[in-house]
Amino acid sequence: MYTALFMLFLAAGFIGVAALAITFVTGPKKTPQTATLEAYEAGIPAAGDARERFPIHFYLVAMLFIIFDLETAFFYPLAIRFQEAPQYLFWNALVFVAILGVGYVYVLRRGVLDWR
Amino acid sequence: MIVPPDGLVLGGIAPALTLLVAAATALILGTVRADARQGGAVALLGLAAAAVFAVRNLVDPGAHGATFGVQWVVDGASAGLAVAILVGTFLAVLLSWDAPVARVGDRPEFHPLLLLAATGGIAMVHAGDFVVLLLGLEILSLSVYALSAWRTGVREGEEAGMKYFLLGAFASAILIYGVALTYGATGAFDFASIGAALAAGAPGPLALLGGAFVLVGLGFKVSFAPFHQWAPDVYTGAPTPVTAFMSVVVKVAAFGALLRVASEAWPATVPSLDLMLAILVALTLVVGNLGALLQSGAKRMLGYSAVAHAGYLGLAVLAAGQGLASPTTVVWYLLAYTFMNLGAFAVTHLVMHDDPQGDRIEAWQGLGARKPGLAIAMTLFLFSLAGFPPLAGFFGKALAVRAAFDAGWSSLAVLALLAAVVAVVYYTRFVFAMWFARAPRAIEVAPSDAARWAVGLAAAGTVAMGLFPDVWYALVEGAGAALALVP
Repeated sequence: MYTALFMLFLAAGFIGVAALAITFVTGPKKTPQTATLEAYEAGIPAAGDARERFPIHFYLVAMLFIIFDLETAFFYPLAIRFQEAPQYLFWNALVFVAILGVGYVYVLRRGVLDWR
Repeated sequence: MIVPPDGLVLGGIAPALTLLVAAATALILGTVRADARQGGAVALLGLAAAAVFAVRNLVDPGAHGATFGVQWVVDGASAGLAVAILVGTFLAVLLSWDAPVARVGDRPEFHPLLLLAATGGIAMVHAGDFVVLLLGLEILSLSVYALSAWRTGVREGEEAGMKYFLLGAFASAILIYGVALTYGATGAFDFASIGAALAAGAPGPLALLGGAFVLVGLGFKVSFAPFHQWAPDVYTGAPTPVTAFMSVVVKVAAFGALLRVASEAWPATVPSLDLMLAILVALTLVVGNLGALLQSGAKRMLGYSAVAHAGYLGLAVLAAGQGLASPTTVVWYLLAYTFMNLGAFAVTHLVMHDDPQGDRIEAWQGLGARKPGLAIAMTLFLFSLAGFPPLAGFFGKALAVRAAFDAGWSSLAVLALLAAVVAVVYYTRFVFAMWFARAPRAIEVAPSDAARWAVGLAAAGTVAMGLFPDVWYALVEGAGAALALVP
């Protein structure tokens, strides 16, 4: 039953190891240039350290995005099975949205989305 | 196929729903006008309304039963524990009425968080399966993490918040792992099916490990030794009204959940789980009482005393979980504990007025001469915690020890009796300081009438439960039942 899955793992492992092995055997053996060691070899030169402080707004907005993203994610299965118990699911969804709505009003009024 | 669950009884979840609505109202109102009085008033109204529903669930046998499938169970024990949670939250709101924690102008989240924590607690005590239990636990815990870190900018406050959050999250993870293992072993989330599956055959190592992890996770929340380390630190670092709240409400909720798990999901045919609980109880009794002996501050002493009381409550849960004692023992003890422990923290709050060192034993010297009313109340609470008759704490400890004897845990019961003798020492140290030591300075207590009301109500509850123990016992157990200490 799980033979296919096992084969998949085997193939994935083989490709991973083979890619590294072939590069190691056939690739040039030079000391890397400075650009090779950059985070983005062919992009904008990196400036400064990644460990600096960001305004907390970024995190708050990211968290809000996840919450409302999940809200829509929840509604897809609900919509698909909606006809099986329309009234029950409707009220369920409404309560869910109402609770999130309270949170949204709170966030809005507390100025989380104000970019000063 | 999705079908609406049959017999959706909203009356069962009415207390939690009411609190949720109150929390949302307080939250939105707080963003319009940040006013602690307004948040407190909404909280008190919501708690009173929720208490009406909870009391109805308690006294009306017609309201008993399971709703939402088997996920939400209403019976005497769960409704009684819900009442204890509501009483504890009500007193905590009164206590914080004039306190700086609630007054911070730009933080209207204080009362909503208290109400949400109480909602989570109520969900935990009504839980009929692990899903609702975990949901309630997370709602309760996340709110209390935030509350325990309320004093920002104070080292102890931030330490308390961080410690409680990290350790609490770790304990939650262990609990969830335990639930997952239990599900793997039995294929069920609801306590009744788990109990039936475990009773059907000899449980394998998976089920035992799952049970042990669940015990560790809940043991952290109720502060069983050796998972008690956070309790004294967090109790000291959190603002005192929050300490008062978490010391009773978290304990009631977690013991309510443990009681249900132990009595329904762990059948009597699996003695190893009971043995694990018994070992934890024995450790807790020893560590809690010896630890409290060494403390010089009231909040730390009460923190260790909370650990010690977890030992007695654990005894009662152990016996009730085996079906050899009534769950009412646990419920009775927890309401008594709510009154006396919250009262003791309330007096501490008034005496130390926000000075981190203000609860050292020196601060209590001469309180009896200067503020006799408060000193009498504190003496009542401490004597009750120590277990002097005829106060509430006496019947709590006596019922727990009696339950342990009934269930055949005689050695544990004897250990509990010895521990009670040790407990007298550390409680009476503070009583002596209040009445027999000369005051080094004039004593000023925080001026708050609401907090005085909280002290008064808690004192009234402590005395009333001691003088009329039968009333509350019969309410929970069912009409006509009487509390009997002697067979």
